[in-house]
Amino acid sequence: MILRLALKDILHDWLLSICLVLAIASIIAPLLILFGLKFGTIQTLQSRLVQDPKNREIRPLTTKSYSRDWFDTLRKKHPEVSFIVPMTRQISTSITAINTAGDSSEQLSLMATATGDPLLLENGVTIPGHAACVLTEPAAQALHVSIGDELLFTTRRIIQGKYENGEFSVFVSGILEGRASSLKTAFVRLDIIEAVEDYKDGRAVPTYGWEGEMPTAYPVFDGAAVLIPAPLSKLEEVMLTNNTGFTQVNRIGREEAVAKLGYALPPEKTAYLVAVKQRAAMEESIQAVRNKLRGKGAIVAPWIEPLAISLASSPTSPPVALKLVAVTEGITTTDPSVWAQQMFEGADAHRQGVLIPSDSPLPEGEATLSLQFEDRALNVPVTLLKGGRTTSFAYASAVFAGRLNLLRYRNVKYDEKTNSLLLSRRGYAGFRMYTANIDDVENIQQALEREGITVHTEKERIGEVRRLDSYMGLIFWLIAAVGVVGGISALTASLYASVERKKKELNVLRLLGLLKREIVLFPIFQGLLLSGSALLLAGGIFLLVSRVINHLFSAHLRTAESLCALSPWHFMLLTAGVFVLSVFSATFAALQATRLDPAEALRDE
Amino acid sequence: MNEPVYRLREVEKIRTKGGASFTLRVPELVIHRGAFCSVVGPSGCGKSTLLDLLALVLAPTRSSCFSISVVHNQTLEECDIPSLSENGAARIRRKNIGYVLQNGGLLPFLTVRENIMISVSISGRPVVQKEFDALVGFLGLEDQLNKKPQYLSGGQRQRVAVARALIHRPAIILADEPTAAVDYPTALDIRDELKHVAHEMGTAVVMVTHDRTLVNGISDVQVQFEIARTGLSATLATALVGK
Repeated sequence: MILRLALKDILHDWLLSICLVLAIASIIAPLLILFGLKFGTIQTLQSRLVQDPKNREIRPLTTKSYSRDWFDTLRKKHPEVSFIVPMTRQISTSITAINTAGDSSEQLSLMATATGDPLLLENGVTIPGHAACVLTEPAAQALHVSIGDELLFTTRRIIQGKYENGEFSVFVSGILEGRASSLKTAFVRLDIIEAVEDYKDGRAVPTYGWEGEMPTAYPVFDGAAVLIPAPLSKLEEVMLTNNTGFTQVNRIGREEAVAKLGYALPPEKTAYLVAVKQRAAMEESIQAVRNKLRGKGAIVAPWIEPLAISLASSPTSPPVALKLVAVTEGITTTDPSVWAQQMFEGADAHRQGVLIPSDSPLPEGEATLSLQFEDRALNVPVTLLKGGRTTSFAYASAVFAGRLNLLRYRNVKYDEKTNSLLLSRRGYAGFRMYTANIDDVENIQQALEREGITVHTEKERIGEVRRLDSYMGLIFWLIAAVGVVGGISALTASLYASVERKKKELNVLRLLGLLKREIVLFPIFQGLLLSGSALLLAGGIFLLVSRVINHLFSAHLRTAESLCALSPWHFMLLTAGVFVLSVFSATFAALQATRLDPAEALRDE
Repeated sequence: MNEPVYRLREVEKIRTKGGASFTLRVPELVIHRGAFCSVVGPSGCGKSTLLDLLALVLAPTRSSCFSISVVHNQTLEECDIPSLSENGAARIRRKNIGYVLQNGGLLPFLTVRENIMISVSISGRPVVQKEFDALVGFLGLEDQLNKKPQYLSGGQRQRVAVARALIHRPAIILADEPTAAVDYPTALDIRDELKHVAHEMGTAVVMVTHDRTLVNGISDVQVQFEIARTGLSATLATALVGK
């Protein structure tokens, strides 16, 4: 009944009720919009500004060689580094880009990129593929190209006083907007930049058919095996380490010989192992030992620590693990067998031969040899020959085994085009790095500077945007606080005033015999009805305005982002807050209005 | 005579306002069922205070006997008024007292019909349509039922107030200057209607008025006041019962 009376009263005084609803809605709606902006994507936009990749970038100021290991350790040690890509020397990144459709050409500098590059991704550009590039806006303008166009990249070198040009074509997969970079730059995959640097350094790049010096893998050994009829004197032993590059001489017994050399010693020979510590030995050192032992009937063979390899005849067949050792012709003559001829004569022409034990389950013929050191892996096609006597050992020519042995120290890759083992790049001259958060920049900078790497960061800008960010936050909360306080007082005042206006009716109801708690319900229901409608109205206004805002700024938003939005949870909180406030102020006002005795209150009118 | 509804003996109410004290003393007053009791006197003599005491909205300062007889569970029960709680008083009021205010005291947001029926919903005492029609017909309000009070004349409003006070058949009707805002002929009509209906229904009517001529000769009981200044700023009004 009270609810019905309250509703009837509101409808009766519809003009005043509308005024009240409008007044309350006009308090709530701007607050809703303000909070909508705060909790909507304005925050995202703001944090995007603050967390702009430009501010998180770290670049070295000095050129230094950074090995692959260095990059790996850095990634492991500093998880706050969200992205790092190696860079070649600055000088080898310059390239001429020619628009194949038009006639424009432009000097560009190449910049390496890779999966996860925030500079591209956070500016809405996808990472380019293998034959693609992302141009900065100035570069694209200078070349008059747009996405999908093809470009010819030309790099130039001087070999023996003559200019040579290397060319390759890429297509433009994206254009990076001007705010991200003001330089004329093309972002490409690292392997393209590596190829350009290799070319400029005079090396061949088989991928693009560029000729030049091949970075062929060279054989390295861990020592030399000396097989000699008569044991060496102490002096002769010392002689072997004198000026030969070797540091140790050890006589090895027959059993040890099988384990270390991979084959049994001929009965009349004594064996020594001349070795180096930590460093690899080259062909010259072995030659030096040969020279020292000239005329003593000694066989000096290059020696490598047996390599753990696995062989598989096809990708599907199970790999077989063996230990690979190096043999030379001198050795094989002491251990005569049929395979020697084939192995050393037919080998280099097509495929390297590898001798495997006669009892091996592997068939003769083509197979793939795999080996791995730390994170460096190598797969090489070989030809298998059977006839080895020692189970678990495989044999290869000293040169081939020495090249494989190089993987212990450097990255070696097999190049199909030239059918050879090529050295991979040792390291990089620089890098481009981004931290996950601007707050991490300083830590990383300090860590790098402790390593002696001076880096460039946007320290001052970070300070500025941080200050700006905190001021913005402060200003927002000040406005919000004033708005909320104003809203609370206005809501309370409006409801209080409306109860005060109803004082007479409330007292009439009291005289008619309504209990005090029923009387108090009357303004509470009215307050709830009024503020409820005001909430609905404000919600409607908010939805409308937020749609307008989102529409106006849709160009700057990614899909599924909206600038101005509130979650249902926010609305529930607001509704609860407004209702509690309504009940509170209505109750207070009602108690105030019914304090006097009713007849007296009416007579006072 | 019927049994009494109000019984007052040596009831005193002292009110202080702005340093001046006003004392109303009722030495003896008994109002019987069906009686028409008029309370007359100039303004400020304590008429309203007496009415408020009777309406159970004002508690007496002192009393040796102050009771109201109400029908409770079909038996007559005599309640000691000073010992009632505020809600207790409200419960008695809603069932047993009809109140006619000076300006009608109608709720502006309800139609005439709703204004009359509100007493029914508050008291919880069911009313049959015939009774309603009879009452409305007697007061000449048939054509006004769906109007809001703001469209009625002063006299019509006052009649609606009378109807509202009577519809739930209370034992007592308290009328606070019901004729103050209407012209004399209308005042006479309203007075007659009150008296007539009260008589019909066996309801005790206490009508407060400053106009002695309006009630002279027709009251069963008439209360008048004797004013005496007892101090510099103290007034004593004694309610005396006459005929």
